Formats: sequence, structure tokens, C-alpha cells
Amino acid sequence: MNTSSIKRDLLESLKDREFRQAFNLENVYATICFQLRALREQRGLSQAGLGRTAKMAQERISILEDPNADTKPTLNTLLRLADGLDVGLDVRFVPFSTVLDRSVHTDIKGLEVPNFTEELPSLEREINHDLRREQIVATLAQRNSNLISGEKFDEIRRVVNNRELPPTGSPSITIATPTATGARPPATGAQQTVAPNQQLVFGFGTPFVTASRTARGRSALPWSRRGMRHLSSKQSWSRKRA
Amino acid sequence: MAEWPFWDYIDEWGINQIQEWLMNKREVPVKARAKIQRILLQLAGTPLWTRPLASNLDDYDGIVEIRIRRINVQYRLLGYRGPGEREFTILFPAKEQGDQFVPLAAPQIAQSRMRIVVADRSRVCEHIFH
Repeated sequence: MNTSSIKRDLLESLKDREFRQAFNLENVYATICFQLRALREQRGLSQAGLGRTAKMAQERISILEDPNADTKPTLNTLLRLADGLDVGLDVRFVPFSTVLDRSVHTDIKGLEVPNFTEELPSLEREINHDLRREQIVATLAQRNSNLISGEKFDEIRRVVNNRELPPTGSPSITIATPTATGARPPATGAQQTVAPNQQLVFGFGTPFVTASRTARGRSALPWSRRGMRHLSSKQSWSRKRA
Repeated sequence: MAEWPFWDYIDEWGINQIQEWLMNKREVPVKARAKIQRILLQLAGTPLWTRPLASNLDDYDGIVEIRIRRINVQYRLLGYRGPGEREFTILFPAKEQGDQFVPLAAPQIAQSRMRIVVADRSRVCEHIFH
């Protein structure tokens, strides 16, 4: 049984509006019931223990974990449980592709969520990492503001975002460097190290940000010259010299 | 994806009995089918099934019932853990009314079907989530 064939089968049924509406409802409640139990067991809590944390009776937790129960949790109840478990609650409208996807990926591990304290170190790491990326993008853009159009700026951001950052303290990053025709250059010289204190040279019409300049002002990019040959006379190749 | 992939029982004429039942709107209204399929998907990803959603039938060795209720109808999917390791086959779909199976012989039928499947694995097919 693979997820694609299950999705295909479900999609057939979802074409029927009545099934779609019912499946949507069951998907919400089944997920809550099973996830609540998964979260409780992840924390090694009994129903009574979770009840104490969320200020609810054990019987109530038992009902909330039962997908056959008549009583369905309100948003307020879910918020109280989220508070008790110290996790976030995300209620939003989504396309049916998301409903389908979540319906077929039902393993327990996928339902487990760390509490805020457990999540905090990785969350901080992640945010700091993103901040460093943003700083690099901003520095590169600032130093080349005369050359960067909005589109190019987005390209820099995309290239930087797709790269592993080096350890803190070494600000340089490596950017892939395709030729003007769009084909990637040979392995040697195919990548350039671009540091925030260097300037960028852009080949307009090329799909990626492609060049840098050495501190002495000489182009360090043999491939860029090869790339230039493919440019038509109407296309410009800006190379800023010191 | 699944901890417990589901299989359906096929009768001697090659008909998927579980699919036939699920698609029969008089037996299983559309909304009930949506609930049954969604619960089965969730169980497929759950390593350990517990009450009240699933339990062993004490008097019928090896038979497990999956209990799904919608409005006032109690659906009971009778099956067994097999034919392969970590697989579950739905053998007979029944209902429960007043503490009794409908039909009354549902567990016996499930057990006889289990013997058939154990002897001949070709009598099952992948469950259709439809």
C-alpha cells in the first residue's frame, strides 16, 4: 500500500461533495483525537495527568481522545489543551491537497510535537541562522545597489538561502556560477566564493548572480569571460572595476 | 507509510466483499464511509491499537474488531492481524445493536474467512480507500 494509490482512491471519493464535506470533518476530529493521545504518551502522562495540566477532568480527556465520542472539542478546549501541553495551535483553511497529504501520512511520530522549552534551542539556532543569511544578502545588495534590480536581489536571496552557511566568523559563501547561456560552467571555477566585503558583477540575462571581484580589483572569474562570448551585443555585461 | 497496511477479503468469485459493503449506500451512507476510511487511515499509522477503538474478541481467537460509530450506528469491522507480519485484513463488516452483532454469526463468519486467508493469501487484496 503506497501513499500515492491511497491518495488516488481518496481523490475519487472527494469528487463527491457529500463525501468531501464529511471527510473534512472526520479528518479534523480524527487528527485531534489521535494527536492528543500521541502528545500525552510522548510526555509520559496519564489521562488524569494531562487533565491536571490542562485543568480538565480525566473523563473529559478520555472523551477527547475517542474518535467515536459525540462531544467534539471546541476551539476554546483546544486552546486550553495547547496551553497545558505548551505547544502551538494552528487552525487555518487549507486546500484539499493538504487534507489529502495529512490524511495519508498518519504515523505517530508525525503527530508528536515538542513543547516550547524543548523546542527553544533549535528555534533560536534556526532564527539566528536565518538572520545571518539575511545579513549576507543585505550586505551584498548594499554594496552593489547600483547594479541590482529587484529581480536580481531576489536571485541573490534565493542563491544565499539555498546554500549551507559556513560557521560563524567566516562570512563568505559559495555561489553557483552558470554561464551566460544558462549552462553551468566546468567544475573548475564553477563556483565562486563571495564574501560580503566583495563586490558583485552581474551578467544581465544570465540566470544567476555570477561574479565577484578580488580585493585588488582583478576579476577572479575565468568562466565569466567564457560566458561573455555568448552574450549578444544588445545584452550588457557589467563588471565594476576598482 | 503504514504501520498496519490494510487488506480486504475477497470471496471465491473474486469480489472484494469489504469494498462492496462500503460502496453500498444503504449499508454505509456516504458520511459513514468517510468516517470509516479516515479512521482506518489513522489506524494504519498507529502501532498499538487500544480500546475503545479496537479490541480482541475474547471468544473468537485471533479476531479483532474495529469499532466505529457514526450517529447511532455502530459499525464493527472484524478482521485479523495477517496474512503477513504487521498487516491487517478486514474479513467481515458487521454492525452492533443492543450488544449483539448484526448478523449474529458475524464473528464465526470472520473466523472461517480468516482460515481461508491463512491457507490462501490470494484471497485478499489491498484495501481501497474510496
